[in-house]
Amino acid sequence: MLAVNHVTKKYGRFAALEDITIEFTGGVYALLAPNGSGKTTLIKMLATLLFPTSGEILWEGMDITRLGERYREVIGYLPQEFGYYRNQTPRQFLHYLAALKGIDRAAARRKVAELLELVSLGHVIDTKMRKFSGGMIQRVGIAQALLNDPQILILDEPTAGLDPKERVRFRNLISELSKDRIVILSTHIVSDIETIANRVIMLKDHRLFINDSPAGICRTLSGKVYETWETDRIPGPYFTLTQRQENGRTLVRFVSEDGCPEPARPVEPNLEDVFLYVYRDQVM
Amino acid sequence: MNWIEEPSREEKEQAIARILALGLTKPKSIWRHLRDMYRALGFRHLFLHTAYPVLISAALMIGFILMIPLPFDQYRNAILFAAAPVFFIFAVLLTETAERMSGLFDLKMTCKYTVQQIAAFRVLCFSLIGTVLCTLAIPLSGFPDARGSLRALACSLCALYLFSFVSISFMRHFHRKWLRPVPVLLWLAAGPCPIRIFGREWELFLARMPAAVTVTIAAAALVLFLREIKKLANAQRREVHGYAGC
Repeated sequence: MLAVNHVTKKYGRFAALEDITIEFTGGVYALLAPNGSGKTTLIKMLATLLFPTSGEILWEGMDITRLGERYREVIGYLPQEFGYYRNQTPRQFLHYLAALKGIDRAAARRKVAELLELVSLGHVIDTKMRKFSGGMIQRVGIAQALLNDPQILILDEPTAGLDPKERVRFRNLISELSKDRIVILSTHIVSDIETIANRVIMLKDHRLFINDSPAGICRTLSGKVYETWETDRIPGPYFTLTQRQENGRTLVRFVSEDGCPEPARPVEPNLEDVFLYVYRDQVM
Repeated sequence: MNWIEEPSREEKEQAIARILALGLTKPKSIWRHLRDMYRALGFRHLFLHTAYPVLISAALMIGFILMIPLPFDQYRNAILFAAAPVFFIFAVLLTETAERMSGLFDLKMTCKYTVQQIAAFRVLCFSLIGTVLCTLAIPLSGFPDARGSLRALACSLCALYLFSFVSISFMRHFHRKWLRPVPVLLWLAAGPCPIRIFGREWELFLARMPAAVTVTIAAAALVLFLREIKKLANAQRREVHGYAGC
């Protein structure tokens, strides 16, 4: 189990994260928050790139800072900005990273071929990466994070630069990988995680706002989300979530704390509704 | 009824020692760690994408000796003293810059062998190359006797190890980007500037410096430098700020 215990991270007087406590056991954990809310700081602390100002992060009961190399051996990390050597092929690049991860050459040879097939790059294994699209580079990044068969897979904004088809493929891959490990991924794109996350962790004002299943999070807005074609007839205050054009008319989805206003009809809230409502000051 | 005898005090202590020996593994020495890293990565991976920084640094050192607008035979000691750390200082600075610009810095810091451990290995190799370059420069400098050659070698190694220690120590303690060229400025202040300011007096001072003094300083600086390397490779709790200093 990976445990974040009362972790605070400060830069001078600015607190990037305050008193965060989370336990990760298994499955997909999605860190969902707008940009600048501390997601990457938390991810970097889990990857030992930053250290808490106070509090502790424990893996199997031991401080990850003290574990050092032993902790780094169990993690796979994909940073938000993934760099690569343009003149290397994915095979060369993954062999290099496998060596840095301390994987012996014979095992690396087998693993590299296997992973590049898994991320559908088997046909370009010996093509220089300078010819690759953003999505292909991102898939190389995912492959490298899996090289050491990590027990903890940490992905920072992993779907950035992927097209819709690749996003679906990525979701399926993450779902598959999460069966026997902890997957922690940060994103501000709700659709990336709503079908695959076992737990959604939302940060607000640099603190932990909620840590629950997607269904549990959606329940927080239960009975408060409505749709209507006629917003001009809605009395009282409401918060507009989304607007959709259909046959020249506009279907408005909104939150009202004061019950169902005529002529709107109640609808089931989804994760995007909660995201938009929780971060209404930051997103809108 | 079968009685089990209580173990003696000695037996208890032996059992405790055995359990502790199994549980407490002795931490690897720095040399063992560097050797293991070399075996796992090999020179090719340890020095990946460092060819240009190394070549540029070697060219800067040779260029400095050849281009300095002074009669070499009258300023041998001063020029060798000033040139000795050039390769090391620039190799460390340029490889760090290349590493940071690769975009792989964060990722490499999460691997078993981190950038800072690789940096420790590279820095050690750069100091060895610096030592070889200093040694090769002596016979090419045309000293009239062996004593003068040995004195000049001790003097240039003294400069090399002092600067190696100072630059690594500086980079380990100060992480701000704008402070990184400070070792180069220090070298300018202690290497070429005294030649410019004191001229022949500086040359004579270095030429008359007893070899015992320079050898002692060089040995002390080497020990301090190796201690810095050890700290660099063993650093557990370092945030991602700089390369050698991270």
